[in-house]
Amino acid sequence: MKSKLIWYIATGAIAGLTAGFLGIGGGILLVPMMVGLLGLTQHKAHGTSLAIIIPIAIISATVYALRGHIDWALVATIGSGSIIGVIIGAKLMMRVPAHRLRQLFGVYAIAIAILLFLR
Amino acid sequence: MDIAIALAVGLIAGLISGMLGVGGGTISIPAMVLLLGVEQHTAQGVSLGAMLFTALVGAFIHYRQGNVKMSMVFLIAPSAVAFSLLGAWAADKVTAEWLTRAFAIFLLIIGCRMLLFNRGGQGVSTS
Repeated sequence: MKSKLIWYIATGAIAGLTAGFLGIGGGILLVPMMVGLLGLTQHKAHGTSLAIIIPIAIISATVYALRGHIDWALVATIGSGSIIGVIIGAKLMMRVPAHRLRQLFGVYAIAIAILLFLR
Repeated sequence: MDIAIALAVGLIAGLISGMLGVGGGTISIPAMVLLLGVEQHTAQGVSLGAMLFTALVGAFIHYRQGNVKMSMVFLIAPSAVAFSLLGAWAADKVTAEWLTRAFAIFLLIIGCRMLLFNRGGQGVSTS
């Protein structure tokens, strides 16, 4: 456990840095790192990732808000939509094969990356 | 119209968030930039603000299903929070144009990784 401490710190550092810089939660890095490096099962990694995202979101959102990079009306609308989504998603998780979802997400991510480049 | 789009974007981001354990920013940020014309920094700030609600609700549901390992939360969160401060500070120093590019490159890498190194067969409850 103690010898692995550095891996926990590294996981947090890489996920946290990306989370703050790109405005994502960092879960997209946290989940594979916790599964691959720290030996957590896939489903436990999902729940644990969301718990770690809570303090990350509080702190980085505060920094963005202090710099004026926030739109509270959008936070409220997207936030309320996503509360409904996450309730359904978390309950569905146990029934949907995660590797299928990741395939779908992979295609989505590449398509969006191309759209952002072409913009 | 924009409100309907924003609600739909939130709903989809939340769904993905609950199923994959991610924050949903990879969905909501490009949607805000491409569909609603929001500036990249603001989209990222909104993503983080909205994500707080998603993460709170999602983590609570997963916790009740026994899928949150608290010891790991306490081991990872301190460095994650410290480095997210650094990241958020750095984002403010970069122009929106470059931040969008960095975001797109990140998505490209993540997308390729998910397609090429996808661990199969872990979808059914293993915990």
